[in-house]
Amino acid sequence: MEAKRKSAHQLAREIGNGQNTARRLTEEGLKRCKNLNASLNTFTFIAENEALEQAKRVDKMIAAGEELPLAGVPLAVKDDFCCSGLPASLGSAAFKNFVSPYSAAAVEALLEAGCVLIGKTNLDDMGMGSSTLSSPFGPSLNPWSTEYAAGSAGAAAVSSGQCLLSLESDTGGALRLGASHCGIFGLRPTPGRISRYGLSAFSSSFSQAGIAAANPEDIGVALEVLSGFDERDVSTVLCRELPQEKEKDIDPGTITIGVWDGDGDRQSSANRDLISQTGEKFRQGDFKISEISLELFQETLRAYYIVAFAEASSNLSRYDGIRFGEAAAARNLDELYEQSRRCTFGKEARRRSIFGTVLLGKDRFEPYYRQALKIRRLFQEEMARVFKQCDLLLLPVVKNLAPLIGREAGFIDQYEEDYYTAPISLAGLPALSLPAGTIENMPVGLQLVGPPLADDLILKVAAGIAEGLSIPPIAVRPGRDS
Amino acid sequence: MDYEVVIGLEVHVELKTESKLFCSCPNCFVPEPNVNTCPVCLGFPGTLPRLNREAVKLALTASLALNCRIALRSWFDRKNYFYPDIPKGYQISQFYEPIGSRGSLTIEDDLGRPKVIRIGRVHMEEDAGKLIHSPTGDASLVDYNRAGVPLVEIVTEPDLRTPGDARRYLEKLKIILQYAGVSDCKMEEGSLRCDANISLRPSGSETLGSKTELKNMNSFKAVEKSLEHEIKRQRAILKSGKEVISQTLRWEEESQKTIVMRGKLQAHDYRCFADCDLAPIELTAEEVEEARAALPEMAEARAERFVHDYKLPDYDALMLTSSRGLADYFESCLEFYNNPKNVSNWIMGELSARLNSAGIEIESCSFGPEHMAELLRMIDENLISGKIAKDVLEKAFYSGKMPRRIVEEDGLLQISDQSELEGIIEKVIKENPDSVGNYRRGKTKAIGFLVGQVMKETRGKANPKLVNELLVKKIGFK
Amino acid sequence: MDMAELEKAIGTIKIAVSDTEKEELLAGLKDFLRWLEPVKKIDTANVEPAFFSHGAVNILREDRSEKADISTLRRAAPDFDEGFYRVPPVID
Repeated sequence: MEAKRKSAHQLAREIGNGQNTARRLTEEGLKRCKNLNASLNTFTFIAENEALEQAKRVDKMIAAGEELPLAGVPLAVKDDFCCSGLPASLGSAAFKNFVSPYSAAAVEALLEAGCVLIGKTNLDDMGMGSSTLSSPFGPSLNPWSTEYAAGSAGAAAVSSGQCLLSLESDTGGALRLGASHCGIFGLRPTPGRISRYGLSAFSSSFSQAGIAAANPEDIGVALEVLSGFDERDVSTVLCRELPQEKEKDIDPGTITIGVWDGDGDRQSSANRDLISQTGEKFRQGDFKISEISLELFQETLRAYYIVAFAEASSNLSRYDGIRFGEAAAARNLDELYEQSRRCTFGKEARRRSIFGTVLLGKDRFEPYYRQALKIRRLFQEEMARVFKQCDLLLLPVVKNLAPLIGREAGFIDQYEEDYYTAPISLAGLPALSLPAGTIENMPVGLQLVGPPLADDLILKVAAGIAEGLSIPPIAVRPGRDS
Repeated sequence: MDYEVVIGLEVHVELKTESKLFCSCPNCFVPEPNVNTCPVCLGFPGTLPRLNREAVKLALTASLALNCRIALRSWFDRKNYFYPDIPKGYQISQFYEPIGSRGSLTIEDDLGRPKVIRIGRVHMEEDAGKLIHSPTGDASLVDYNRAGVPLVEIVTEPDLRTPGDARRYLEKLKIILQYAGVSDCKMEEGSLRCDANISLRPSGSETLGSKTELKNMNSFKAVEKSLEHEIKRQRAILKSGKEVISQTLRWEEESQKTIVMRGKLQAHDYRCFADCDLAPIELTAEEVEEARAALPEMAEARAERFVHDYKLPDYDALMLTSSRGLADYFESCLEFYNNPKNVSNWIMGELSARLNSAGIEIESCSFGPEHMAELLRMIDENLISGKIAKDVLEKAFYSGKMPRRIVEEDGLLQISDQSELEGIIEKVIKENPDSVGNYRRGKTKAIGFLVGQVMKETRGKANPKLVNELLVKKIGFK
Repeated sequence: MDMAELEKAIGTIKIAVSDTEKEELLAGLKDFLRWLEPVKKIDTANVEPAFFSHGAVNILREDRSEKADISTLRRAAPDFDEGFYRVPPVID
């Protein structure tokens, strides 16, 4: 349990100065992935040939004197991102043979920075969920205990050392919850920091690209590579507001961390303990601490679900079995739509599409959809007021431990798992899930949230109290199964 | 009982841009299916739309040209429905906040009196692809070349009262949009499409009767005809005491009849909501005013200017400004040859006749302004006669050759050489003693016949003025 | 909320659903709408809906055309033949 991890930026430096090669590392990494994947079901596809090719390319570029910020860093990419020439299941059994004709902007940027894409990670039904339990390819298991779901397969990949960096999507909290369940760091950046182009988003408002890694610095390096205006995604225009000069080291004494310990849930006492322990660490690190109360938070999860479902019903309408995916045998047009869409969607995607259609219906549009958009504005305003009282806000990230495999909760209970994460999506704020301790030997994190564009501050503050992470037992001797 | 006819038109116009509305695929017609496509306009997973600046500019221009109020903040919504020709399961369209609203256009009614037609809205949207039925009947085929082509939809209030109103509205709309540089507006090629809503109500009634929707008219004439047909049909139904069923009808050009296309018009619930994948469009009042000031000159203003600046008769000015292409052509000619009335005569006369018989538009005519200028200059310089010029124009019209080259190659240069003409004149005098005698007896008209004979001898190449002078000198009273 | 409204939504969104699943969905939808009830009680008088998740405005692309590589796009289609995407016969 004491084995320490190498960080991605250290590794890139070693490769950059010739102490190591991307090729050697990739070969070792692939072996490790294949071993662990057999027991954890982390990947939908391991890109062995492509990874070796890219590693060779990186070594050549390094030899030619090029500087790559993420040279040779093994990368996992969630399977709702498109990578040119690689399969993209998008969380659908009907897409298992779909080869994307183009690459997502974020994937392009990471490969250009020297990352080696090891494989595509498993995901829930059409990316809908934060457990992997609804995946058409079976759940991904948690490296800390295979009785539990990973939450996010990419987080499991980082946690178990199958990769050092994971490109993930986060809509209502998948990345942040998964990072917590697997004991690593996961950043959902301010919407607009990372281009969404090429991410199959079920919600145009909320689906974002994010990064998981074993330490905040690695996320920082990746964010710098990924952040910037991309004319293919209008929201990235926000990056033009970023300061030209990078912020220097922070002075904890000038930073106030607001603390909110959540409200009435089963694990609230555990969360309260974690919050107070972590608050104490901040205090010891000379940060100012201030108690914050939130008014509207409780109702915002529902508002999030209304908007997310409404958008899902529309965003998933392109899956009609005509231009891509699988077409069911059909005698008429309606049958083609109905059967193709049935074989594309799992139960959850069906539910969200249908419920979303109901919510956008004539008589429900005003009391649900528009009302949710009004709540979004009210909550954004409340959070703006909160960030006048503090620079960052510390709050719980999970309500419960990772879901147990084979014991699927009712769907509304599953939505409730996003209690602390979805509201942050609704408000459009950056949030980092950071490891904070263990409960019943399982890792549990907390969330550090900031105002828009506070991503870099969040990462610096988190780095100020971060400790070296332990490695989960299954990953200590990964060769044992072979 | 007498009935009042109420007609409203929905016109879709393709914007003249280089690329599609939300992606860089070319916006042009190609016969081969599915070649102007890319991951964005095919709705591939993860792709996002990218709004075309020029399309917004043209939509703004169209709105201003139609006297609309301009929304300082507008955006795109999703109109959600399934059909194979729309790739995303929704059409991106401006549902809640169109860029232009509450505009108007003035036409002449059946009696020639001015009549204002209110325009409810002008909004931007993406076009759908095309659905074709396979010859074997076992499948339908989808072509997405047109999917994502930028359109503006222009919707009138129900202010039109006769099929003639509808046709004149369309003609006027076409001229305005062409002048504004927004669209080609060629109904035959589909760059202008028109659906009509029509209902009848007892004269004097304020409430609207149940309406039908007419589709598939592919010319202004067809719009007029189909409306006439539909008025007759609805009137007969109402007269027999029955009710008109609200439905969509399809105009069949061959049989000149309408057939039912879709049963009962349903208020379809498109579940429209704002598309977050795009950014709203914001304009300042100054930007709108700038765009208004930059509006191209419209037909009326241009006609007035033609009368004032070029001293053209009203009729000429009206004819020359009946399409922007013609007016542009006219003014281009003047850059090379500055005799407006002469140019006008030749455009309205010979050139128009050629265009009509060849069935082509002035824009695609190979007899350009330089050709016209050169031709007219040659007449002025007595190098060719007007009659020869007509032949030269015809040749140049089809070959695209410059008039001077045709004249040289075909040896059509006018004979203005006195000594060369004198011989021919002697011959004509000798062969036509009667005419000469008549002339000398005071029948001056006889000279015309003699000139004609000389022209015939020279196959039209003689300078008629010179021939006349020489003849008079030779046979005239001493 | 009744079966008729649910079936209308299913018809609109075009997904084949078995009768058993329909029953399950109806029960679930009723629970879901009940779960959403508190949302209606929030006072949002005079609040303008936040239609957009981002603050971007006027993000426009220059009007230049470019041809995409269509061969890879066509390969993704389940039924593509002689230049066309094929669907069952559509009767207007």
